Amino acid sequence: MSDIEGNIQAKVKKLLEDGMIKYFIGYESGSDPLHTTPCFIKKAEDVDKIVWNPFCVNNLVGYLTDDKKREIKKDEEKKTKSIGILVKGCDSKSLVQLLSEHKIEKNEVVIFGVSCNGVINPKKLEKLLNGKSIPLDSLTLQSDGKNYIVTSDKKKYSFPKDKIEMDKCRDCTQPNTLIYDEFFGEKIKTDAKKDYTAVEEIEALPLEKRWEFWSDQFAKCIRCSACRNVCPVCYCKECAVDSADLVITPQTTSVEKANKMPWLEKNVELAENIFFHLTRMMHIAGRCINCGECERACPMNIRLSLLTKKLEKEVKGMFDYEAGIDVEAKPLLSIFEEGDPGEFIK
Amino acid sequence: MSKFEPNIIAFLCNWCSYAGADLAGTGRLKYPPNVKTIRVMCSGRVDPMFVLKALKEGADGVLVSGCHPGDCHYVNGNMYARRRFAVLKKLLEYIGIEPDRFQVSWVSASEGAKFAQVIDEVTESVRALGPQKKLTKVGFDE
Repeated sequence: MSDIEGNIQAKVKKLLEDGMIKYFIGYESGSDPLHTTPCFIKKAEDVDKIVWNPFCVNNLVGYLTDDKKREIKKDEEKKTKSIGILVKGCDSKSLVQLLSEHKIEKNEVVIFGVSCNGVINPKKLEKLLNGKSIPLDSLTLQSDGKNYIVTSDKKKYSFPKDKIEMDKCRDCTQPNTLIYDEFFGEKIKTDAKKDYTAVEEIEALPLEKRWEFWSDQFAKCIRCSACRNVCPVCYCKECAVDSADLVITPQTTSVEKANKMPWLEKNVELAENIFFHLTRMMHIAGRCINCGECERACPMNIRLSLLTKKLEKEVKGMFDYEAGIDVEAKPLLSIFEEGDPGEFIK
Repeated sequence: MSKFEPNIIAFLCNWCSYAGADLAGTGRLKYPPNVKTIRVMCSGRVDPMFVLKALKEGADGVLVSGCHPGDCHYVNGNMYARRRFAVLKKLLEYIGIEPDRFQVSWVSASEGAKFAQVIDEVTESVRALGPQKKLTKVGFDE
């Protein structure tokens, strides 16, 4: 693991010194050993901060569109330099999606690809560690790839990989970065298939049970919009659900009112929450690549991945379409086929 | 509860379904008065948010109706609509909304009889489901 880290640091250092990138987006150690946090390296002397380990969970691709929003204001220095970014295999699909939507152009980024053995869900590990009250000193993946070894106070503890890794890593089909300028580590071969058991379990429930499950989930929502803000494909400057911000005064024109339909009201209640989540799902249908960021960011632990997984399953099943695979692909809902499913139509 | 009259919002496309509704009217065909029509220029104009908003505001059912595939006044607006609503329908079912709450139909300008029949069917199926409470916001009164 450490030589990947070292190689990344060396490469970033070189690119920064040569002035090829304006900054590098990667991971640095977080406030505790179980977390890493995104970092923006602007100076060559800061490259030592960059880390690469199984706690590098965040999808950094979203920061590229954030950058664009900022850069619109100061137009001069923009576009002269690209941005370096560390992209895991799963995240690279969202990068491909953004490239296919021309939200980012290929020459604006220097992509650091990496092979990833799966990342750890800190919440899961924390639970296991607290159960044994072990402080974490170091963590290594055993050579057979099945267990993580946690070293603490010179004692070793072993945790099975599938117990502590992120759910999305369990059926990862993309351990290597899809497109890249530099690649670090050895490419991993996988024959994993997408696993939709969790979705199918819900589908198999009778209607009222499904409603029970989902209304419980959505009732928890406090509409903090963390899921939207963290989403790499939710990049609109103006979001439909923010429309409630319009203050109507005597000067407000009818055009303004029409353009800012109050789709959503501010009160947090089940109906509004469902409207918010379903609208979001419709907006990311065929664009969501299941990076799982929304669920990770959710402070109320809503099982959003069950919704995005369902989307992915239906989009694959009905239209044989997969987001974030092809840079040339057109967005799902702006194309059509003659033979699209229509049996639900009278 | 003896006499529940469903409140149904129908988004009809200007060129086919709305004209079909007109034809049903001029032809003196009888269909239930539960449907509130909203004319849109094309079924492709209907955003999934329209449907969700209607349900949020207390509609018991929503119908979207447009031209038959290939007949769209704007060449293919209804084809986009078909994709969109296929996804929306799956999502609504997934979270436990009765499938009949949201229906889609193709009715052409010459199908006055079909329009009356579709409205009949939609009204009956929604009536059978009873009032829609799940997606309706709190404080909504009849």
